[in-house]
Amino acid sequence: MRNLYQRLKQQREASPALPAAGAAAAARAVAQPSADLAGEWQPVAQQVWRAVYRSPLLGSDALYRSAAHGGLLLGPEIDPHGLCFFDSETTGLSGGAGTTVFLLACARLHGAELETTLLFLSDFSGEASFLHLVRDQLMSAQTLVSYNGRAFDSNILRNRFLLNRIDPPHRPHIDLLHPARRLFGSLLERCSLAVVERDVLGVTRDIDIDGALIPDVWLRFLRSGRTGELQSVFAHVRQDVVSLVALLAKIEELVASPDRGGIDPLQRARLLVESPYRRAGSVRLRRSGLQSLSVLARDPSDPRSAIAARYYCALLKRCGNWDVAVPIWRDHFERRRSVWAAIELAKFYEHRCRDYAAAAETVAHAAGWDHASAMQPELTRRLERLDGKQRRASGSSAVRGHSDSA
Amino acid sequence: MADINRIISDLQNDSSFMSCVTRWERIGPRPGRYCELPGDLDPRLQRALAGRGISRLYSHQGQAYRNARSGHDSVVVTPTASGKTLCYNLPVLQAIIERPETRALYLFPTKALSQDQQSELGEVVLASEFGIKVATYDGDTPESLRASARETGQIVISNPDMLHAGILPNHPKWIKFLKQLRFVVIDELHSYRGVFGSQVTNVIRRLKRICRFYNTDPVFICCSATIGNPLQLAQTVLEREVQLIDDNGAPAGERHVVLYNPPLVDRVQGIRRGVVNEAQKLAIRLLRQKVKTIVFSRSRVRTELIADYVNKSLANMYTDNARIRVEPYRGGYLPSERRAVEKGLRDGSIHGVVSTNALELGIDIGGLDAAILGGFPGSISSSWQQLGRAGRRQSVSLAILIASAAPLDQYMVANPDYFFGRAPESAFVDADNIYVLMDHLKCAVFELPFGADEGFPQAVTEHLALLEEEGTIRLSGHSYYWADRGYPAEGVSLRSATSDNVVIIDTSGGAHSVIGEMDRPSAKEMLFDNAIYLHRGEQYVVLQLDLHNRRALVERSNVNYFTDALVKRDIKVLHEDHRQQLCGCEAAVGDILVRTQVAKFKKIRFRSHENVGYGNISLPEEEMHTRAVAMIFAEGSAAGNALAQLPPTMIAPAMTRIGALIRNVAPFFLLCDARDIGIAERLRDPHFGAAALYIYDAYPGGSGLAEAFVTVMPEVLTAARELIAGCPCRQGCPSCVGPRDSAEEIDGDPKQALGALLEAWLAHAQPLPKTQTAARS
Repeated sequence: MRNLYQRLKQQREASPALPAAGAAAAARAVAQPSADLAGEWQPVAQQVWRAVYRSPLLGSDALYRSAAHGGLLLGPEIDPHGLCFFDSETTGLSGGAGTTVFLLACARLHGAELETTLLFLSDFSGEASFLHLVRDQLMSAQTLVSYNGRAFDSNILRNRFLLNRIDPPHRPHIDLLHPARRLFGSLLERCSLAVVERDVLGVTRDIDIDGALIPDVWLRFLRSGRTGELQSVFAHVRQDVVSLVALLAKIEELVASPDRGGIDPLQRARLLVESPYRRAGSVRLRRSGLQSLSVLARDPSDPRSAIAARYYCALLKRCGNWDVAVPIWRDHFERRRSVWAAIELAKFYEHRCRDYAAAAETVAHAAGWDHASAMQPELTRRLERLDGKQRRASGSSAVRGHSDSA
Repeated sequence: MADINRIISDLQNDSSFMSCVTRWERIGPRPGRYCELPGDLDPRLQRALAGRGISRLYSHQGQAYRNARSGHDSVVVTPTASGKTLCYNLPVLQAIIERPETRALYLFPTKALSQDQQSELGEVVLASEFGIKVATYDGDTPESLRASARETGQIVISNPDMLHAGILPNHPKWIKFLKQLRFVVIDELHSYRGVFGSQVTNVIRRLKRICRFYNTDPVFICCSATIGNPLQLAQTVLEREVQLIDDNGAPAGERHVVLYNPPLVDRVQGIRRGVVNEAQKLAIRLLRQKVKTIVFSRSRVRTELIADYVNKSLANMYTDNARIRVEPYRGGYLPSERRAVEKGLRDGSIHGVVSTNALELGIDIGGLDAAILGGFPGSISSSWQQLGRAGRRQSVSLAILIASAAPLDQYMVANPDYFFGRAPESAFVDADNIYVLMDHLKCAVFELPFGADEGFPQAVTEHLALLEEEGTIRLSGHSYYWADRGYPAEGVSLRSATSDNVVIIDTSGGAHSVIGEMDRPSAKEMLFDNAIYLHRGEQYVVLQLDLHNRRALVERSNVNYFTDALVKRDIKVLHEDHRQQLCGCEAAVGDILVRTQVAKFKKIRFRSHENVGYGNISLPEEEMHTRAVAMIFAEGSAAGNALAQLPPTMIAPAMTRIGALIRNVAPFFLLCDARDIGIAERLRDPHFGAAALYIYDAYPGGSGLAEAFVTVMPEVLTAARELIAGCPCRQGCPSCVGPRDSAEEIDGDPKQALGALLEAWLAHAQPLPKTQTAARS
């Protein structure tokens, strides 16, 4: 910074009649050769390039099937041909108004083929045209599919559209990150697309660039004009969208058939009954999820039984289905001596049946267990409260009795 | 019942108290001036105000309302208890009631603490009666509430730091807010001075730029405490025409302001009875008479000490404290603790409070009967803010300033005319500090591509070209774009000192507790290995200064000496902007390079000040470009002649002591901290060819202090002379020219020698302006 200061000072003193830097630089920018992209790349506007690739699509059956019969994310209301699998590359990962999108990849199904379109911005000044083309691509789709696109890509794109005073595109958006996290989260070290791709889809990339380095590649390209390093970025983003297609198919396949893929049945069931997906998921899948939960909840041999039971009973409680919930709690209370089940039962007796004696008895019983020591304060508090209620209840009935006799 | 009048007459009849009073000033009551509630004010708002007992406005509130309604920017000068918040809340609430889409941004200088208080107090609560949504947006706002603040907050309360690093870089998220932004309220404008002021000015530039993008042009309403140049400051920060509203219409009761100098206990060394003791004794005296009292102290430790003493003394006299409750109040408390004290003061359940300057700012604690200032707060405007905490609209109040041994305190009590007559200090801002400007220019480019011919607001084409060379921005077409993966606001702190500080860690007895922090350059001079460091009365030895990790490990020690680094300071003049004749010397302003090296330290025995040894320091050199003013003692000038009359061996120590005097006095006139300026003297300056005394800005690139110093130089020198003349010590003390030091070569009496030098110098300078003596009314 000191050098900067000195230079600025010197410059100011040395040449008071310095030509406007803006004008000089503008002249330089015009003289600068535009990026030289060969092969599939076509210039489509000033500083904007497009490339289109077609590739055979394997395993697309699952997509068409779940769209037809109603899957977790797809359903009859979604035409698979209207899906746009997209990913973008940006100048930074921190977000904010100064982060720019310079590359967009969109993949569309064409029967058994996949058509991937890449749009590339080769310098900032072409951004408005680039964004118009991006908008056309996204708006021509019926539904967008991404990985973490809701939180990241969409926000940065929205910023870019606003800054260029272009209407941001609006389309329904399926983000595969959340179902992927639910299904694979406990199995994988991280839930990044790269890891999911490798460990779930079994895709191996021969040579690949670390996604975190991509911003630097583009910024270096801006300064040097050399396109060599960019090729790995293009390959990277193309593979990303291809993997998105495969991942969507895989998720639908796994949720449709509970016994496959080594998926944790509990997590699968939770995914199926969780609300964000209920809209697109079919009633059949939700029922299947509930069914697995109810089996798990009653299966004493399964280590996940307690978690499944708590989760399942919470759902039952929410819709007032006590007839199903109470036997499960009782089972966990009596046979497995679960403190949580004791508390749930006590709540049931206290608030639903107003049977304070039964509630107190249940709590007192649990308080006697050795393994309940950690919960002791809560149990004690509960017991005291119930005692109070019992006393008040008997007191008021005594008063009532008195007045009756008068 | 508190009888303030009785206390006042008691004190006036107490001869031992009065013998220490250097001035007792009675300021007569002032009637209020009012105007009707504005005719266009929504009837519901009128009713809501009436419900709070407000049926008319003070004249300045009415003026502020009309100004804002007609779209003019204004700065309202608001002494304590003048109904400040209504000045901005009224036009904002009215506008939101008329058009609910309207948005307003409130900026407060302090962080979260006083902000969430601001949202609970004042007329902002009126907002809730109209369903107006007030949201706080700062570093402590949880992520879950941020989105709703952006989307639905009609009044958003924030601070400049958050605007800088949170809102502006993410302005597309704030589109709904920014598109309807009609008002920006900048409270406590006077705190935006010096480097902080230049930072904030640049943040406002960025805000205005983003507003232009969203086609909004909000009205700015600023509030400032009484300072010398509120209008100038507002126009510097906003860079546009601003209207000044300084005609305070709020009434005030009769006030007694007393300057009190504790009795001398050692005339030779100039030692007086301590401020802490005097303050607590006076506080107890007032509290026993049920006088609601606030005591201001200058440090957090003293705050605790005084509160503790007071409570203990009260407990001894009455078993139940006579139900008198005194609480300390300072930074570092939990917000809820502070809220409880504030509430207790307002509702009367707390009778006394001992506070740092934390309560000087516009926190509503209601009116108190008496204020005791334990030491001069460093500036006239701060003093009046603190003194103003005592005073109600109707009744009599008492405020006592207790002087410490510090030079400025002694100057003020010795020159009461000066204290009462002087206009409050002016605040200076240099918005174009090159470092600050470059930082914010980067942030601006990040926020919105910067047109090659766009101004900021002045031409910045060269700055942009340099940033492009550096590679963080790129010219494409006719605009500059942010071409870096970083997030520039992250690397720019508006409160610059914090990022580079050295943390001081006490490791005594295996502990590891942070006892303070210090900026890096000062740490090199005070926290070098083996240095003896004094901190709040405790003595520590520095085990290791770890500059790389920004920490200094210290341990309690008990030796009979302290250490003093021998600082080698080399100054190179880079560019001289201009030079003028002033006060019998020449004052040159320009850019300098300061190289500082500490290579050795002396060990000096306590009390006797004998030199008992040396040690080596090996630390890298510190380099800084900054702005400076050089006072040149040119041959033939009054200053040069005065200096030439001294014996040659005395010239060096005399220069050092003049430097010390200026360092003591100048911050007061510059409204800055003593740390903000550096002083260096040279007997034979190669650049100027004479002895020269440099006063330079301690902030890289300068923050306007060098330029400001030239304008206050006559006053600084006059004050220095009067400080020496008025000091009751015999041969110099820490309150004036510094104590006698056997290691120095001033023969005989340094005080007399320095006094004579200044007399000789200033007697032959062109007439200096007389100190203002008009009494405050």
